Amino acid sequence: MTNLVRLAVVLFRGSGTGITAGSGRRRKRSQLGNILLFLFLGIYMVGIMSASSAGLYSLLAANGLQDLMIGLYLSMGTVLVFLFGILYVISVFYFTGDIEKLLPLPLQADEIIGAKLAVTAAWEYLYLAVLVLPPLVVFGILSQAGAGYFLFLAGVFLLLPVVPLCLASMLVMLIMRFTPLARNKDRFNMVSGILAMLLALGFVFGTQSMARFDEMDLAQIISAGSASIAKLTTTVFPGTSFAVGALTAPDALQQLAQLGLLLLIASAAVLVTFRMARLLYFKGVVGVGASAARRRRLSSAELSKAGQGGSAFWTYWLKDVRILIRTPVFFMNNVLMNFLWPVFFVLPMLTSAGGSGGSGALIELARGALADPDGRGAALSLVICFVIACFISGTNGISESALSREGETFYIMKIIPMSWWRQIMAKVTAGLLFSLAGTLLPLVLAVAFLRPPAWLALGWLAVLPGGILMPNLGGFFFELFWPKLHWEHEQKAVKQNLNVLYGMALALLLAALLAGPAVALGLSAAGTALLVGLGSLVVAAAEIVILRRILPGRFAAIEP
Amino acid sequence: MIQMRKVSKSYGGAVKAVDSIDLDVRRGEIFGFLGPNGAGKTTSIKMITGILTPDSGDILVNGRDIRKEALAVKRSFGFVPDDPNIFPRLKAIEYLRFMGDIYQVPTDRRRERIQELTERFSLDEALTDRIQSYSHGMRQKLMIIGALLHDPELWILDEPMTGLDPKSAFVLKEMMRTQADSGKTVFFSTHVLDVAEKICDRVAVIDRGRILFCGSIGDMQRQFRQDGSLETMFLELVNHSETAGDPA
Repeated sequence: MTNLVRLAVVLFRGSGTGITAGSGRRRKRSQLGNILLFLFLGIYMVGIMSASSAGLYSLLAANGLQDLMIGLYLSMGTVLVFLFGILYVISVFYFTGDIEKLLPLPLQADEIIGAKLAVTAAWEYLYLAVLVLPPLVVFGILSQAGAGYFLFLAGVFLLLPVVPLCLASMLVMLIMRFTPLARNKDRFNMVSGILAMLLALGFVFGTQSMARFDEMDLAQIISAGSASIAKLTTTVFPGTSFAVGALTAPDALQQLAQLGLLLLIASAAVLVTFRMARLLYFKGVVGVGASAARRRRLSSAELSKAGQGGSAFWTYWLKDVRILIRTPVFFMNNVLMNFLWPVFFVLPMLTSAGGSGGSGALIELARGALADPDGRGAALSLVICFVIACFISGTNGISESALSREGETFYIMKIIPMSWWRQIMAKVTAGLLFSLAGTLLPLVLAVAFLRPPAWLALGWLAVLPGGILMPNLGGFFFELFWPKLHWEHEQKAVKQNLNVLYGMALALLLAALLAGPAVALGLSAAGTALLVGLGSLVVAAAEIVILRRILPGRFAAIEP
Repeated sequence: MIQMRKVSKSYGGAVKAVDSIDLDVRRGEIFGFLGPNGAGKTTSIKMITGILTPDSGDILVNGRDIRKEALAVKRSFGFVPDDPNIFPRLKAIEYLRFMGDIYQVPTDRRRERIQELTERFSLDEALTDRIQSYSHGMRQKLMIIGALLHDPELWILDEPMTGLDPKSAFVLKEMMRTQADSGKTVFFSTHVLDVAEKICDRVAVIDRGRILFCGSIGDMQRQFRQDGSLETMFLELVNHSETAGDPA
């Protein structure tokens, strides 16, 4: 246990921001700016979550269903922890640079896993503090809950991520156990990541569909009281219903009992994870970073092909794309993530389309709404398409970590005879490629299921260029000011990099600024397409002008 | 070929890593840059190559200022860093293709250079493997090949012998000599004084950011009035600098 705590402290110390740009006073000023930006972002996200949850509360309270809110947010929190946990756990447990330093030390597998689990949990708590805690505090305030509620809320907040994170760890350790058997380890690791993600999604949506209720059930549930609905939404993970109970049970004793049960389940999950770590971890992690070598001479045809000259820009772009795809941590967090959100958006649509009665009618209703050029449905669909493009481009973190991913080898960008502007454009183009692929996936599925008229499908396509370009260019600004170049493992460049969060916030802010007026003014489909499609291109053009202006000074200031 | 005039650089505004140094590296010579750890060698090299910006002073490469004519200057040199861990996920041949495209090496010349250099450094049977699977020495060799692919006028090498096997170190020294004899220039930093003594036309000794000596080994022997080895004279220079720099 002592080793576990010592190791956790060392790992925590090593997971700082490590931001570098310039030196001395300039660096201090940069860090201060970063802290201010981080605070602003935190307040901004907490504000959004609080405001939206206050609206939801008043809507639910009108029907006496306010307790449903607790179940909704808690289950959303556990699902998020589980899915993000899969990505985190694969990266932190298996692909961080410290693995090779830890393995020769006299440490048990469960001590390493325990310390790494603590570091992973810290980041999950950060997400929960921003996304789940504010709505639950809002609930407490609006429902005039007493001090006891907030006390139990603190307990629930601390215990909530334990079970999903342990489940994610167990799933990953089970899959990664087979790494040593694979010849091409990098490819196996990537396939494992995808498999773990698919299994996780299948698990989440499978259990959700089991808990789904039709119109008849809903009527019964409403009559049975909101508490039973809350239970329905928390069938996803063991323990979530106890978390809900700890906040909604009628008296303090029952709340305490529920919290005790949650603690019991969380402790059991940790113990099982530790036990599994002893059985599986070393068998999977030893040699995980080894790369097979063939030691084969190039044939003359291969040499001819390899020796062919090409464009410096595309070679640079290809280098970035290859590194993104071949580095497991980048692949999981940037490339796979890019296609994960579309699955979130599309899967519910697929399941409801496959349903009968009410849900089938919903699709028909949507098709009708989209067919009318003057109707609100078509205009709204353009807004949704634009926001999805901004969201996916803003959350994949490719442009937002473009310099950080270079790490200590950033200096290569400074010594090669290629202008900084061309290098940055090549990097942004890599971000554009994946953003476009991630955005097209839900769009193609939406076209297949909703069968919009051709003019509307073209309209969806028309709002994409700006929706993808604007966030990718915007995300780059933060990298120019606070690139995270000093890291020991790739995880820090993409996941523990605040620039990714800033880029996401900027993308959402710009999307809201353009899409908001289109909705508020009730613009037609054509007006909406013009405002968001053209508006975002104008913003992107402005970003290019500013980037070009600040680039020489900022790039010179970055001293690796 | 390289001129440094009153160049200074400090980190964090306090300690001067390089303190007002003047240096001239002439065309057609092998110039060794010597100094103990933390003396300012790598900082100087980083300023010459444009990785760091000097706080003050001027640096000219082939008469050009890198801050004003960046691309032209960068095309004129090939740089081998002290850490060869670059792009581990790329295959060696992909890295060489990247360097060839970035430096716009013509197709025919490129094939010839890849074949010639990889055979000389015994990497011709490992080009399809990922750099990740390479040993430190193999990575170092690949970096050297990448830097020399465009046949630059000036070689800038930071600790190039580190990790090289004896055969590759010999090949590199031989290539450096050939390069200098053909009128091109080699500027390299090293800890290995034997190497410097054997192949350098001139050397500079730097310690605590200041140039303590600049000239040929013969000049150094004349200055010290002895026939001692470079190692003896180097240690005397550095010890004297430390004594002079220490507060009494």
